[in-house]
Amino acid sequence: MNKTIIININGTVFHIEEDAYEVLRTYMTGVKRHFTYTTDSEEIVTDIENRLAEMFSERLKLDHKQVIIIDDVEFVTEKMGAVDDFDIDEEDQTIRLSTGAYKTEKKLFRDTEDSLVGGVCSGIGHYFGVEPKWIRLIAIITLFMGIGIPLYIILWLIIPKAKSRVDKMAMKGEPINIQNFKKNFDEEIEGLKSGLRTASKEAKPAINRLARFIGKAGMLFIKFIGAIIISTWFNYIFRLLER
Amino acid sequence: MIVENTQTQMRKGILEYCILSIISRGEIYASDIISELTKARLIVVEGTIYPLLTRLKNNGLLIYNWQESTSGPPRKYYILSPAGLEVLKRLDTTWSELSYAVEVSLENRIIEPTTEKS
Repeated sequence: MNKTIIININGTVFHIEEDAYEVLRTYMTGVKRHFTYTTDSEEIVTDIENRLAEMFSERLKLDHKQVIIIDDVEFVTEKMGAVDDFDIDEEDQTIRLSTGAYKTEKKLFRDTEDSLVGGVCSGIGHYFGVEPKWIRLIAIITLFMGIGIPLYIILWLIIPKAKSRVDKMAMKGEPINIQNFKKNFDEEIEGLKSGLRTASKEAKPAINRLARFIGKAGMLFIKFIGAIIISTWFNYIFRLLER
Repeated sequence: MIVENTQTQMRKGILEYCILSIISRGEIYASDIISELTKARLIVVEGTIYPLLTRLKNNGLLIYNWQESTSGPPRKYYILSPAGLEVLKRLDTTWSELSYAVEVSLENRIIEPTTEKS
């Protein structure tokens, strides 16, 4: 079961799966960018859209389907060709490439798959291309400066969670194309499988889990106390030095 | 790099000449032009042809008219304009000159067919 979107390609209405839509949209954005500096770009883009719509209709009719899925998008865009292959003149391409129009933009999301609390730090880490542990270190430092907790809560509230696969790819700055989509999907399935495996291993009595939880929480508490002791100690040293 | 540049120049001119020739046979739809080019082993992706057709049309060499289609939006069918026909005739002359020039220049040279894909 998948969520579908209704789209309108120059007057023809299609039902399309969400994933497929994202790939198609990225492709069309690429096409539009490619022709930005061309005269009559609008007409060319419309021609291409019309042809894509026609190919979709043909495929749907052939398979007696109602919804466009990712395979259809892949087939159709392959026939239309990669945007890089549009020009037979390679000089044109290098000019366009150097303007950097093809860069995918990175977006800030919370990564709840790799999170300790709300995934804020790992999200920021992805955004700046830094390992999350360094961001977490900074977060802990700000914690002792007194602004850590309110700052974290604010960030938690304002940064959206990376929900869809597209979000996750935008978060990591991966270009949204079919290859990456497949890769991401495979990783997701793999994650799901290993999750199931560990879940079955951990199906022990609830009391056991509770005990372990208390143990972990206790550990965390001890660490926390330790950290406070260290920080007050540092504070003390600083004070001494300031004198 | 120089080789590629020369290849591009050659392909570019010949592609336009071939497209005009194909259209001169009678009104035709863009994706059918692609099929013809593929048959002629002049491989380009469909995306290449739309900007080219638009440019040729805006230069007054092509005319199109809309035709209803059973499978999707109306289609643009292209034909040559009188100016396009004129250009094609001149290109025919140029081509026969060029092909003679190549033929003579290549005389007594043995060209081994390579299976280069590009």
